[in-house]
Amino acid sequence: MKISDFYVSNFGIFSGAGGPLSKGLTVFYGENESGKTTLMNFFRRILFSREKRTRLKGNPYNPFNGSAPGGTVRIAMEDGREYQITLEGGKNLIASSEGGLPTELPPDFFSINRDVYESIFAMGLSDMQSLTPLNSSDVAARFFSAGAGLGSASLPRLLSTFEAREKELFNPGNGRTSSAVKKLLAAMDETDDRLKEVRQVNAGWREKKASLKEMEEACETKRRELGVLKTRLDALELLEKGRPSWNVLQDLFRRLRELEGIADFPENGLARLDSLNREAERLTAELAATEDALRSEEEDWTVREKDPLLDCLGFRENIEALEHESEQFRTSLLRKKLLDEEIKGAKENFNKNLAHICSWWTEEHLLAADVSAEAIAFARETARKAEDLERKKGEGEKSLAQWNRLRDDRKGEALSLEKEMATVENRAARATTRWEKLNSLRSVFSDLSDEEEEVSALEEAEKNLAAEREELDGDVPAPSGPLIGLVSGLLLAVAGGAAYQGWLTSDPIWIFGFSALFFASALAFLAHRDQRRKYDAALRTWTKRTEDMESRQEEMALQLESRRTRVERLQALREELAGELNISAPRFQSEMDSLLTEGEADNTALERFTVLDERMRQMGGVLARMDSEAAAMEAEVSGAAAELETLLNTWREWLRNAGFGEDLAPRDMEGLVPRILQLRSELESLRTRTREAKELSDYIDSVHRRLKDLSDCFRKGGEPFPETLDVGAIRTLAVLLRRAEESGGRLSVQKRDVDLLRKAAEETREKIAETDKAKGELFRSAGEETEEGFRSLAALERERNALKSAIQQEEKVLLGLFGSDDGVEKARREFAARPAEDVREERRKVEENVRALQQEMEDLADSRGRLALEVEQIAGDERLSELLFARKEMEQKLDDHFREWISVLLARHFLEVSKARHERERQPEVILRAAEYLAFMTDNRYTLLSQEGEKGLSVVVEENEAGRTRKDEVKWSSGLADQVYLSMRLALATLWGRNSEPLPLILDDLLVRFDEGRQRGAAEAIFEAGRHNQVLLFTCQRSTFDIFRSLGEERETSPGFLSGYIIERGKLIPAA
Amino acid sequence: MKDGQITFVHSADLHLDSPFSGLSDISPSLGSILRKATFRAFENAVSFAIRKEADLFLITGDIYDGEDRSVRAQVFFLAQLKRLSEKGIAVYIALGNHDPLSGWEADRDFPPLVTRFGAEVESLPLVIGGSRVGTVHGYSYPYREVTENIALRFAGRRGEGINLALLHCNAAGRKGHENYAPCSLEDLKAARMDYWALGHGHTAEVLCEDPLMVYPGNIQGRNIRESGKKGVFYVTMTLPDEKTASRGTVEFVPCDVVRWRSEELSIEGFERDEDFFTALDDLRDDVRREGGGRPTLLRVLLTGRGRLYRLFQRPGFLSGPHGVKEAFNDEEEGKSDFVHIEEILEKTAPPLDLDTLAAGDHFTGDFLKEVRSFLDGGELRKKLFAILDEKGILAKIPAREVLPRIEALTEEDISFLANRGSWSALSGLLEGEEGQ
Repeated sequence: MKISDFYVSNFGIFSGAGGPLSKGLTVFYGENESGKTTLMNFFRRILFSREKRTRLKGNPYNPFNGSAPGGTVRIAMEDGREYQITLEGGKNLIASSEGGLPTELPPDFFSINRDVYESIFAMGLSDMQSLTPLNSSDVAARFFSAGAGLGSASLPRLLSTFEAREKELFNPGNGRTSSAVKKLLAAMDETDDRLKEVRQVNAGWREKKASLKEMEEACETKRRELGVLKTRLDALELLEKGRPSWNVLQDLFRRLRELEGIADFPENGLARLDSLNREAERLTAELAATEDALRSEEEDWTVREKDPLLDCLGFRENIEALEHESEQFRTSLLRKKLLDEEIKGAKENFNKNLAHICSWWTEEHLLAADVSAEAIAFARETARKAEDLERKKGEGEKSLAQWNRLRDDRKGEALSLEKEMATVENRAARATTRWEKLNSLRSVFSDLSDEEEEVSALEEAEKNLAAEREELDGDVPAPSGPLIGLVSGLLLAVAGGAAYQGWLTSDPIWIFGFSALFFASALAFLAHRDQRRKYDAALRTWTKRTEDMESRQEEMALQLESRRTRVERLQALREELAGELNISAPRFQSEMDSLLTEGEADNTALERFTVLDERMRQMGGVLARMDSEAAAMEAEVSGAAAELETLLNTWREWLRNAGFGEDLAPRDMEGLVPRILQLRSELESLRTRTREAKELSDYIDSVHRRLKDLSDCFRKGGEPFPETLDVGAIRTLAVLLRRAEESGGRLSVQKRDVDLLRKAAEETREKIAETDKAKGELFRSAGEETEEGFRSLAALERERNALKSAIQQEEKVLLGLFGSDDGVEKARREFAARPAEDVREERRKVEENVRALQQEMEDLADSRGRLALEVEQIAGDERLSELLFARKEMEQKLDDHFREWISVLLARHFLEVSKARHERERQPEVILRAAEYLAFMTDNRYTLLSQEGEKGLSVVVEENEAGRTRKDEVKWSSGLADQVYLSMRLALATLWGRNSEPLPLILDDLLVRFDEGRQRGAAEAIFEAGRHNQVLLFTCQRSTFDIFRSLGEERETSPGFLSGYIIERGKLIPAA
Repeated sequence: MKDGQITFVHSADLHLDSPFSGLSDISPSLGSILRKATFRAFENAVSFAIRKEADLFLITGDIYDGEDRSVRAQVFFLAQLKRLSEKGIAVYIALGNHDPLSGWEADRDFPPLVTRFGAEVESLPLVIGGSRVGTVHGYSYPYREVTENIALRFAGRRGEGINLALLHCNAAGRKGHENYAPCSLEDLKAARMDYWALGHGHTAEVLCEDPLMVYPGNIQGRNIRESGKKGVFYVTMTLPDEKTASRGTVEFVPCDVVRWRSEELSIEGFERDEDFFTALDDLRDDVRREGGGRPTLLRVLLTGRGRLYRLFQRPGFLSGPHGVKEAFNDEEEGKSDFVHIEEILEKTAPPLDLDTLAAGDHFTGDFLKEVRSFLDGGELRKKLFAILDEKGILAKIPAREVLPRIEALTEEDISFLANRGSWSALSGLLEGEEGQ
């Protein structure tokens, strides 16, 4: 495939550039940043769609104008078909040149993908550099990978990766390494062993279960045996427990038999006797108590009858009257107390208030003070006047104080102005002087600059004059004498020769000689005259110019001298002024300008002084006005004060006459009058309450007297009576009266009780006699006369009953032990038949048997439990399942590993076989082609050979000189390595296309690392490659461009084979 | 029995406590679920029979998986029989090649309503609800390898009422199973039974409608070959009278706890890695939805030619540690209706024009020619052995476990492995290094 022409409508820097491409080699030359790489990428991009996965976020080739990338190439395939490929936006579209709709360019349209294209057909400097240093295996690896259409693939590395993986998976016969398969086999063996164990355990389950059943049956038998033994043991234990009861029962029966034949005892006889005895005792005690009570009552009545309190009943009316008045008396006492306190408080308040009005006032002053309406009006008028005068005086003083503060501020301001003026005045004076000097300096500097320029101009002119003079001196007209002599001598010689020849030969030559002599002589004459004239004229002119020049030089010297003197004078003046200004003398205009700027800045002090002066003048006027104003204000304040004093004197006089204190202010008078009136009212109220207190006091005294009389009466009777004669004393009197009444009542009741007691004592005596009679009847019924006999009989009866009860008790015990009457009967027979020792012996033996049996059962239960647990564990054992699962997993892994191993093994096998075949059959052809290119590059100095070695194929370089020394990679120079690489790449690219579409080679500044000689060799090789594939070579070196051009001329290639473009900032200029 | 009909559950090939195969690197929790799966599946079948108040429960062989019948499995099985017996459901068992009568038994204490047929064809009266309704015939394998046509022994044994026959056999030459007790449909028909309860085939199948001949398949799939729904048949049959023969209907009832599925995913047209991951997620969602809340073990078969081929060639990308499979399965961990990828079978091809490459005069061309010369003309196993022999490996391969695997490789297997290896190498050649 070849690109016939191209057009870049929009791609990076390019916008509307293109042209035809030669079928062989097209060289693009451009400086750096001209767009060379962009164009190169345009060709790569348009031939192969960009893969989506490699899309860059920011495409560096987006057109600068912001539109989508675009361009077109027309291509011609080897079979003659022609297409047009268009880059439109992000898509590559292809259309046949014969027409038809454009379709998207398939990624493999050229039978290879973009990556392969990049690695085979597009190569640049970086590829070359990345190949150093080379080594033999790398050369081979890259050779193969490139041969396969690969980028950086390394076949040996690929093979070693496969081998490593293969060994990692499975390495049969190698016992040392542990491959994955080997590990799995080991794990499987281990699992199988464990499976065997578990299966064995499972197999024993049925036997264990049968054993378990047997054990359970044995357990049951023993449990039954134990039951029988325990029943017998229980029976023996009962016999032993029942024997004491049986013995007791025998004894009871014997004693009961002994009490037979005793007379009957009346039913409950003893209880009845005891009851009668208790009744008699109770009645006797009751009689004694009644008699005691009677005595006590009689004594008490006698004492009561003599109580003095009973006398109170005689003052009943007086006491009841006092009790009736007790509430009034209590109220009066309280009221009197309150009234006394009120009067006391009111008196104190009144006195305090009176003292507040006037400290020396008495009640009389209060009542006599003038509080008439006229007095109040007078006070009100006086107060108003006094307030007006005080306000006037206060305001005047306040204004005066403010005015004085303002005046002080102004004075301070004036003082600071004066200070600043003094400072500014000095600065202004200095600035004025300096400014004047600066102006002088500026004038001097200006003059000096002018003079110096003038001097420079004069010096230049002087130099010019000197040069002119020198030129003039060199221009002195040459005298014509020597020329004339020379011409004349020549003519004489010619004429002499001709004369001599004519004399000798007399042939026409002589005639010619004479003619020549004649014309020569004529010419010499004419020439001499003209020369002479010209010389004279020139000499005159020269002399005049010389004179003129001299006079100008003199004049110039004088003028220069004068100017220089002036310059020196001005310089001295400048230095002097600079000295005065205490600065270094300005040399340049910029320095002078800077000084003037500074000087202008100094002038601000003068301006400030003027401003301050004006302000000072204004300040003086203001201060004078302020002083006069202050004096007027002071006079006004003094007048108001005098008027106020007069008014106050009049007021004090009136106060004295009206009975008031002199310090009373007129405005307080109006407020004082209500207070005076209030105090007068309070005085009246105080007097009323004092009268009421007197009345109450009289009443209380009368009650006290009545109480005193009664208290004296009671005290005499021995009754306690309170000392204080208040309401409590009335209550005490009332209580005493109640007690006297109660005492009288109780006395009559007591008399009635004494009568009743006497009657009760008589009745009790009768009952005692009846009881004695009943006891006698009871004794007689038992055949006894006395209580002792009766009681002996009762004792015998009690013993017989106790024996019967004991027998019943023991019989119940036996029934409880043996359960039923039959049981008891059976036991009685056994008690009678067997002695206790027999039973005890039997029981001991049975107990031993029970213990032995129980131990046996425990042992059996333990064994059964263990076995049951074992059986249960086996039944729930998941290990078999787990192990089978695990083994299946291992088998799966083994299968996976094994299959991968086969897969890798076969892949490696195919690679190795292919490699051997490739090395054997194909590689030499590629090497031969590469050797051709290397010969071009090295001017046939080297050839390239393949060599089989231990590591496989390697490439060596053989010298074509005598000796044909071979060099392997380590002996290659850097330049030679680059040449070998380039020749191999070119060979691969050109051979690749042999059976498929040969695609254009895009070469990027490949020759930049070669020296000049090698560059030419490489160019020849590239030229040669161009015969197989279209070559687009990009370079930034003009020399490379020229090498190809001269090579093209030397080789006289066909017109369409070589072309060139110069790239300048996105523009393409066809090279001539 | 209701309205002159009997109902029963027909199950077979329980393979209790047998391991799942084809799985590796499974988590302990998943392992626990799978180890219990056969138990739970049978439990489901028993519960179904109890819920439906079925009259009978038929089991036609392969209750256990050969010698690895654990005590645990046997105890469990007896417990389930006890459940059925307690509910008055009679159980008939005919043993198969995996659990013949000669096999080891932990316990022979069957519950009262359970009948296990002996090593001769037995015909027993079928009594339901106190009245005889028909005859049940059955045969148990006395030992594993019974190659005789046992179906012939059932001929002429038809009894009164409805006739049910239980036999573990390879009827009509089913592929993929040992040819035990082989028989034809005609042999079975000749016995004039009303229902043939068959076992041995692991796929649920009704071989014949009249009379009904049914393989319920195994009750729980244990590998990718046992994909799809697994369970029992619930059968309803009318009792015959003098005029009409017995007629029956069958209903398949899934009982499996975990289901196996295999799905193909083509990478053609996938431009980016994300396309693949999205397709895988979509596939997972579909499988989960169709699983109806039941966990699924999924095999993904990647096919097609596309640029993602190279991605898959990265070592461990699909199945290695932190690879696609592991990441996918980690996400599913803990879900009750998880979709667990059992394997990602990669059968994709690079987006290369291999014919053009193979025709090229370059190394790649030579390589592809070499691969093609291997694959062309068949006899791949012979060639493989030759290569191994040539490399001196063959003699060193251990006879146990490994060598049988090589011998078991089919032509298709070797072709697949050779292609996979060569594509990997090609990828390395074209990319620089393998998998880069």
